[in-house]
Amino acid sequence: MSTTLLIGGFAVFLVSGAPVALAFLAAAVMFLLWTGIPLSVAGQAMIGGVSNSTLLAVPLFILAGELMNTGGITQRLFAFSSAVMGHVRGGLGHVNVIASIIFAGISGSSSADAAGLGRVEIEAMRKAGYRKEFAAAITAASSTIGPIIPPSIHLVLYGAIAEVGVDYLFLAGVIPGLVMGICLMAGIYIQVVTGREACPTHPWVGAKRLIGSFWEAILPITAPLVIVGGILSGYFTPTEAGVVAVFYVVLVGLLIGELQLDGMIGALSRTVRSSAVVLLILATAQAFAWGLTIERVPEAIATGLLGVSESQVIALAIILVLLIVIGLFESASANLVIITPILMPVAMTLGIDPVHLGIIIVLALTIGVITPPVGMSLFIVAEITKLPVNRIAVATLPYTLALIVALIITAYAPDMVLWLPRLFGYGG
Amino acid sequence: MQWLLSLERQLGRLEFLVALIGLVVIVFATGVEVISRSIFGSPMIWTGELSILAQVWLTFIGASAVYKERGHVGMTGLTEILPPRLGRAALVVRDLGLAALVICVGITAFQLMSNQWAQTLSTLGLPRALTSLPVVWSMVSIAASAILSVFATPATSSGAEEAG
Repeated sequence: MSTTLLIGGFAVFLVSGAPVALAFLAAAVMFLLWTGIPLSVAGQAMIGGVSNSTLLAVPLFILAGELMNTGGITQRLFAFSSAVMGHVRGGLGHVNVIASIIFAGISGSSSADAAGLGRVEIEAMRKAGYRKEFAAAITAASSTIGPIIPPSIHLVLYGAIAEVGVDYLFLAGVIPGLVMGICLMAGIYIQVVTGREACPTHPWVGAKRLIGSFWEAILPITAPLVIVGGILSGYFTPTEAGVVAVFYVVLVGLLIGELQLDGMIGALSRTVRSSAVVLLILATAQAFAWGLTIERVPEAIATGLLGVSESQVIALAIILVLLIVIGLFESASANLVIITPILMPVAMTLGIDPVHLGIIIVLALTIGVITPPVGMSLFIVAEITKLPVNRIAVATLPYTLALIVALIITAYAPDMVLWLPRLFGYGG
Repeated sequence: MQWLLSLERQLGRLEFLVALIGLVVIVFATGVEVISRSIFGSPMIWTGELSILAQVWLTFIGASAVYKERGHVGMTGLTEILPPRLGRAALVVRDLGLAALVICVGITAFQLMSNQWAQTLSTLGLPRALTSLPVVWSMVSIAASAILSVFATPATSSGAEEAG
């Protein structure tokens, strides 16, 4: 009965439109009242949930992304990407993906990518004669690279929950992030050659203009090297890398003369909103997850999963389907807090490395940001283009499939994912 | 009722400002930590505790401010497809239920805070109760906003306006 109350209570509050964070809390409180466990557990779990130095990276990386969007950096990234790929078949579609990969190297959030870079990308694509639906779809799809390529807010959350080194998680995200980019670009190429999408290209801009745009974008392009290099050389921790990213972006914004005081205040305000939403979900989900642990739900699910098959290949396939399905209905942050403790024992039994598991979970859940009904990037690009969400969702389908291919490659090629962490001393 | 809504807006602005200060403190304290350790080779031990304290304030007080703006992530679900009157009734039950459960957490957090005034944080020397104060504040404030939304929302409105 108490398990039903916990999970059922959460579901009832959720479908009634309550904020996810409060649905977690309300369900946890009902569970505690029913079982007679002191309610102070909920308060302590919430405070403990956010009193973690690793999680300081969350507001810092959100702020870095927001500052990039106000400091003129995104325009320069897009101009450089356009000079590199604008002449290739698929044109600005590929440019969109490349810009997201570079942007992901400083920002750790898909929303910052879709809202900031997305605005620049969609405007440029519309001016160049691209369909609005295509521009919106590829912008939303490419924003999913943000949480995989380091730094990543979701990998920080996973590291804190699973007690896995965030530096190794960041390294492990590099290759899968690039695989996502390649799969998306392959998807665009297929759409163009099969005639489903007409992507006008512009002529090759020439080496002089390419070098010029590279020079203009050199500071933001080298930011990921500063951030990841600083972490690997031991100059700063992944959390401190967040503040280095903030200072770096402010410095670049001031140097190129486009970062204004009102822009900085706007970035701070948006960061407060985003951080409070994500961190409250994390805090209240801790109380909810505590209830799940008491009720031995993770063990029950693990036993059920392993009962289907003890083969790693099949169990992993079930996990992938499960992650994609739950990603449809809930934000990645909330899912991450709930699903990580459930999947950890399964992964250990199956011999899946915890760093590899982190990348699989984050990638699979991130696909949910481009699928209805709760796809945040979908809503952001719908707001930018003023197109109905359902039309963008349909246009996004080929790229969702491309991301699922990237997920399958990532899930079944652990050596590819763990190659970089091992190169830097990871023992897994 | 209008003065209560106005009071809620003012409180929301104050909470937002407090959360904003929390964010600035995190940037400042973490920045000092990196500079003092990496450049001057002498780490400052208080920065870690200050950052975490600021994060707790940013989370809970910021969440309360965002709740007043209906800015939290949620699903638009059942209440949207129900007939208006039934949808409105479901919203009233949901908001009153949320308020009751959230206030329970506020009361227990208040008890926790009362016991913590005599304890101090190890490096800052500030009362430990400062970590539970934002929880008490946000729970009471969110519960009050939930109750206010029940009485201040027109009787014909449904969940369509509540998309988070």
